[in-house]
Amino acid sequence: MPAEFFPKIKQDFSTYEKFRKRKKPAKGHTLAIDPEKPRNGKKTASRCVGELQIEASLPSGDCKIHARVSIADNKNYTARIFADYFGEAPCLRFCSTGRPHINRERGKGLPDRVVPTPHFHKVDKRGIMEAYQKDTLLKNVKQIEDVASGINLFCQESNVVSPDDASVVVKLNTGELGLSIDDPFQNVRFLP
Amino acid sequence: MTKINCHITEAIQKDFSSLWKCKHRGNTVEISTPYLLPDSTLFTLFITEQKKKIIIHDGGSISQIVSEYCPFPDDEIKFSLDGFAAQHEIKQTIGAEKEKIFYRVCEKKKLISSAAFDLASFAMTATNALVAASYEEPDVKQDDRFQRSADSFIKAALPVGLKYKPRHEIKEVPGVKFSGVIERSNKIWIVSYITGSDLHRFKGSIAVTIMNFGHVWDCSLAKNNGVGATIPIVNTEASGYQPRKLGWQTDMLKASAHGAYLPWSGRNDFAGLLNKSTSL
Repeated sequence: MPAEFFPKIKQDFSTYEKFRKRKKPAKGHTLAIDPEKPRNGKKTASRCVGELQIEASLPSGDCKIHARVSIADNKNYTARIFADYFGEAPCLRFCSTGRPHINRERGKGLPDRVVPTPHFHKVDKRGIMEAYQKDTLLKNVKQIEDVASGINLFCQESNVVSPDDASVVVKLNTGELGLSIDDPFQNVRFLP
Repeated sequence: MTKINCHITEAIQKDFSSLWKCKHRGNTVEISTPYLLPDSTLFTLFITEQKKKIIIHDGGSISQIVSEYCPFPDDEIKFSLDGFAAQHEIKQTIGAEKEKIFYRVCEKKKLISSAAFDLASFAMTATNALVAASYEEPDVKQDDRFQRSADSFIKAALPVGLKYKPRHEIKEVPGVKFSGVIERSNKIWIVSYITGSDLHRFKGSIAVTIMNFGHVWDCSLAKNNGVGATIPIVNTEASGYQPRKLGWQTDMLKASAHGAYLPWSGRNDFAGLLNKSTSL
């Protein structure tokens, strides 16, 4: 399955765990998230994106935090940490909304495998990406609707800090279109 | 061991049922189902009420998963999705994020489950055919991933007025599908991806590129100044990329490309490389 198996982390799980738990200073104070260049011949951007390099202290490769926010619904966003050393796919992730993730069986049965959003992702010792929730997420559901607060929770969880050890400042610029709506499908035209 | 009888059905049903969860979003409800998508998430149904009609749709998730994980070019994806949708009698529209939404319209409440069943089957078929199936072969996987990353990188980096056509053939060099062709009204740029899961395959990829570039610079189009550059993009993350064992091959490659050479690790130079040759 795509983006799910990390052979490098399976091989060298202790390096990944140390990386995950270590305090990782970003190479800037602000994560600026701006409208993406429109793709595939479309006229307007549908998402805002932004990234910030991180001091990873890994044997090789760069590391960055990347965020992506839907312009039609600002509550819908994701933040991911890419570390080249562990492979191309992001090795840590946060999803604010969307579909539940289903983990591999771990001896507790089917109902226990489902992890609804919001949730974090990390890679387990078998090299498989798993989703998990934490009290910080469940207690702050309302707060997570705000991109900056949600990404700050993710930075806390993954130990990413600004160069002077404070919180990374998240700055979302959606242009004039920034919306936070309840029903993203209210204006979609469904023809019978 | 416990004796298994048909009562086990109830236990299975109970656990499966626990996967159905519902969220309210204005005039829409969002329901997770027990159907697994290839990105390890559960397919989520959306039911929207609009003008007294009940719409059962995917909320845009199918096209989102496919565009994120499928290595095929956009037009091929569109062709396949249209085909699968027609087979399952599923309609399409465009959502707020300009994404494709697949749906079924229902007149009666009684028919919702049936429409949901068809939509979920369609979601399984389409995403598995386009995403999961392309990940079977580990060797292919690495190269496809590179191809996909390189495609989207070039598309994003391209200045306005230039068009990128992945896996494209030009009539002056028949029978060769280049990794990509960049087009402007009066000029083209040829891109060739060089990759391989081992040294042998990597050398093969270089050899094919040298041969094709040779042909390009020999053709009438190049002689009439219609070729801007031939750019080899070298997958420096491939396991077959062993620069110390590729010395003279790399020199020949650069010569065949008339000097252009772009290692993936230095891909940010792409715009510069292109600019240099667009002004010519």
